[in-house]
Amino acid sequence: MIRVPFQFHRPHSIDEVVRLLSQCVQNGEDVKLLAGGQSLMPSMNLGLVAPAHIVSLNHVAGLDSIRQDGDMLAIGAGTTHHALAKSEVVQAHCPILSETAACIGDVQVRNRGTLGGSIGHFDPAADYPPVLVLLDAACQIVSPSGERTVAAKDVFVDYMTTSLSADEVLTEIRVPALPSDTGTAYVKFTRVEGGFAIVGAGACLRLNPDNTCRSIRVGICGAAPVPVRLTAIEDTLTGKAVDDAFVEVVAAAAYESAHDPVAELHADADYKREMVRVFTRRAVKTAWERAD
Amino acid sequence: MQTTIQLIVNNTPCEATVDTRTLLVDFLRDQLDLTGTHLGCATGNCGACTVMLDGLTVKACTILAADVAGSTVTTIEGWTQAARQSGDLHPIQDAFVKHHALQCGFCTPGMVLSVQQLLQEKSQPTEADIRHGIAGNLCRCTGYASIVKAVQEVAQTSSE
Repeated sequence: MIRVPFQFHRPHSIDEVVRLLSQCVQNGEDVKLLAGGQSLMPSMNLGLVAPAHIVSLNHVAGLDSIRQDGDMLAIGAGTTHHALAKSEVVQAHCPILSETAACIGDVQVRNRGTLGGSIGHFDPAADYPPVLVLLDAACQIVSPSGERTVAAKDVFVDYMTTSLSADEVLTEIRVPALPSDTGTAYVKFTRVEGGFAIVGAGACLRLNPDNTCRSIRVGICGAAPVPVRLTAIEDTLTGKAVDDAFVEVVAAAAYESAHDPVAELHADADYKREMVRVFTRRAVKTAWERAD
Repeated sequence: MQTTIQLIVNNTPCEATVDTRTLLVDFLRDQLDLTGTHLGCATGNCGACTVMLDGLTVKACTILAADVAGSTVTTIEGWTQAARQSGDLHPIQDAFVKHHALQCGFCTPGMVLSVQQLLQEKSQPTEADIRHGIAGNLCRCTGYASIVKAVQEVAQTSSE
């Protein structure tokens, strides 16, 4: 039993969700959206969070759909990690996202936890944010005044802080359907299986027929309070021969980019920075092996 | 705040009034007297409270009872009852007994449901598959080797 009482709401439509959020905000009452609850419920059980209102998203139909829309995949915010990991459409067109979903938590957590919940909670050690940033994902957000689309990089503002306001709800995430010759990989460093990433690195790499780089994108968590994308060097690597030296250039750039790692119990800042180098190297190498 | 929920628990339709603060695990144990579902950590780590929700394993300490309205829940009691219809123990239970895959037994109900889900998805798991499959269930007696052996035997027997 959770100690602090709260009002529980079970709306059946996004309109109703936004209306409830808006009411709470207008009344100056603390409100939290409940998706899979894999972070929120433990936090409430521990008494770390005690909102006056909980608005459940689990009774809103259609939030868990995955569909291909031209050269994009539109993924409902309520899609579970399990559904993402098993989705044939996602495996075929955005395998980095299914690989990421499959390494979150454990079976039970993946069965209940959702993509939208993870984005909204935004633990800096979460696995999706760096991958969504490297994919240039777009987040569909509904507010009392209408809908807006926000690039993933603009959603993750600061440590456990997103650009969503309290009366807004994330409904859909759009990621590109990647060309089939793209090599992708997400690797993470954890103390035990399924743990939060001490460091996580994702890479997407396309090769030209002469084995030079056609395009590369890299996203990292653990290097700073928000996901780091290696934008500064990605473009400069186009046309460069992909070999071990290439991988080292990316790994070194990742190390340099790790300007503000959040020190934690299992890893201080210097160690994390070093692990950023190691895991970026592994991500790029694996993406390279998978590119053809 | 109280709320009324209707759901199916172990194949039986059920209507109940719950405090909104009630976790699914507490609802099952305290209101339905289904004490096979254990409460360990209450932080989603240990997996002792594992139940099937609409056919998939979840940790009942991370879910509000108020939020499972309209769902189908299967606890270890419901699963055992279904398994026992033939009069014998389920092969998973048999194998757990044979290989001493339980010591204190606290993790066992959750462990068995995780094994059930694993074998449902992958009838012939590798040792790595088994260890991934039970990664969400902690055995503080550290009896993992025996548990893995038990699951391997269930898989092997079912393929014969």
